Amino acid sequence: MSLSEVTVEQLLQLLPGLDELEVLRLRLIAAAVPDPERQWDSSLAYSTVDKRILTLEDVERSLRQSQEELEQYIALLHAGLRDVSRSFFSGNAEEAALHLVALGERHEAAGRARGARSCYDAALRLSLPLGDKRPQILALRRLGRVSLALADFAEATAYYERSAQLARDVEDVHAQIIARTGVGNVLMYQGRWLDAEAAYVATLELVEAAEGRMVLERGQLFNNLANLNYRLGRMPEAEGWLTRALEIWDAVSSPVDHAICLANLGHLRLQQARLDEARTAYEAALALPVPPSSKALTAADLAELCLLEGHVSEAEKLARVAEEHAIAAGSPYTLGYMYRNRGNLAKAHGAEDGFTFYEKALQIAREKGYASLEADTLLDYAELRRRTGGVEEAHAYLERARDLFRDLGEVESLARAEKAVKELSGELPVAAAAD
Amino acid sequence: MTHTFRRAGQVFVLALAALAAGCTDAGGPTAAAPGASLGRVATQSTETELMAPASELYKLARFRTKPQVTIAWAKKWIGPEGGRLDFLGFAIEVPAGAVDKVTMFTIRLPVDPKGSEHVVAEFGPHNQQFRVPVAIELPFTNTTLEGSPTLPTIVWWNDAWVDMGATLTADGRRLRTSTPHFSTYGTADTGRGGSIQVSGG
Repeated sequence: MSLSEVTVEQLLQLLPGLDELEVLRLRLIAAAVPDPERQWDSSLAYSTVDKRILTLEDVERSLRQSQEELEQYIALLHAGLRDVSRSFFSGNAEEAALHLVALGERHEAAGRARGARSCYDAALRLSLPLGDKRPQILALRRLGRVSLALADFAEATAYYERSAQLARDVEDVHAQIIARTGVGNVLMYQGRWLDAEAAYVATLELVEAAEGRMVLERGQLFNNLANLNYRLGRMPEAEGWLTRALEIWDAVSSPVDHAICLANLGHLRLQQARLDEARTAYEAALALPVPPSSKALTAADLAELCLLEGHVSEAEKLARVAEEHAIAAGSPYTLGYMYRNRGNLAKAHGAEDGFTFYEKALQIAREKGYASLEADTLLDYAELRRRTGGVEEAHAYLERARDLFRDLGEVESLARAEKAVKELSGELPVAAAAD
Repeated sequence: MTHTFRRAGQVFVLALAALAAGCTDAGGPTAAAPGASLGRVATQSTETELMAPASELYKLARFRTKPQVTIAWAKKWIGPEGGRLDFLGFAIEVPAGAVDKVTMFTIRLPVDPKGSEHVVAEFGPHNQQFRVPVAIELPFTNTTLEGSPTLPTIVWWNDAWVDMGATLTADGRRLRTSTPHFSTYGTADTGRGGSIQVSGG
């Protein structure tokens, strides 16, 4: 008997557990998202991603796309290793290490964070015995960046701090500033705003001591200080840092930093209820030539703004744009973030298909070990579970989220989770509460 | 959801019972607020206007299940010893010493179909500076802020919505803040939950 369609669950069971098939798995999951006509129905038939269906055409299209991506990747990998080998055979190990770093950067740009980490690890091993410490300082810094992308906060901090220490030892102030900015960035993702502020302010003092040089790094610190002042609710200070940052991005070309600045400006304007200006800022950020992962996050922010304005269909459209960028980035982490965001959108307007998106986010987070994403998603998902009568499930989700936040050191989120657990405990059936 | 709505209804009944006992009064003529139009609030016999324009109400949180409001204001005389006025999930808590003579405190809600979707109320008396800040509470459960990934807050109207900050009450059902004077207050999302994107490193 032939089948016209099968479930995602059935299809994924067909695939051998090879890393090389990761792109295909992502493509299949993405193809299983329902069409726009049905996407926002609250039908329980769509309540879990495993039960979504795919046709043979969907599968063949996914196979074709993943094969193309894999072929491009293999070509990139071998071209990069050719450069590494040539430098090594010519006796230039420093250059070979830098080629390995460059190969890692190309992996990162394609959303292959774990592949990037392997390349940086190889660069670090090669650079350890070298007298020239620059490749080692760079490899450590890149390991810090990619560990942050993978939400391995402790590792990211250790790499950045080692890089900064080594840079200080060889009196490379520029490298020290970049690594110390990285330390602050990790603290930001952990929600340790005041610690991040201390790190950024200390780093800015190093930049100011350089007297007019390192304008790019100064602008990046202005961006980050604006961001954290906004998170702390100090809006006038955030405005001041953003103004200073924008002056730099008008003069210095760095589309990624400019886009980050505009996204932060959008957050601030949204908080000030200056919605038109928030929209303008987000749209300007999206118009800049930045990596898909950055576009995905900003498109998701703009989608939330649309929802706030009551423009539900535009919000849905933007959420799908965000998802496409996340898939283009090839980053499971960004994709998981998108699904969590779409779960929140669905929850906000009362659609029960929020279940589907949260389940997808959790599936990715758990398979890939993204503890931060898992915890954030559980926290959001618990409310939907509670609202639909699943008080015990919601309580279990919150407890798991709380444990994860504690391990991660995310102070603010931990406090939110603890408070939510406490509140929900009062709604538990007596037997469950006594356990 | 239904449970919450029923609870809101009970509060309303209790409020009416309190009226009969003379603790809290509803209705009675009051002067229309002098501010710009146009979300309308009702008294028993007249309609007056919220100080915030109706065009700005969409920025506020909404009730998931809209309370069925027919009498949309309550008052209570409170003196220097302090006291509390509760009305449909909104509340005023006056500490001792906040006023130096018996003063009429009021809570007014919008009754028009659009305005009453939102978590907003006008607190009175206007044009009076309290000697000690007075606490106000607004509903949190059964509103769109419940479960929001960002921080909820209380805002007041001062030609724009101004974030006052808020904490959850001990029972987790309401948002609470304190203020030295009264105006129109609503609840909103702080919006401080946008994506975190960092530069450099």
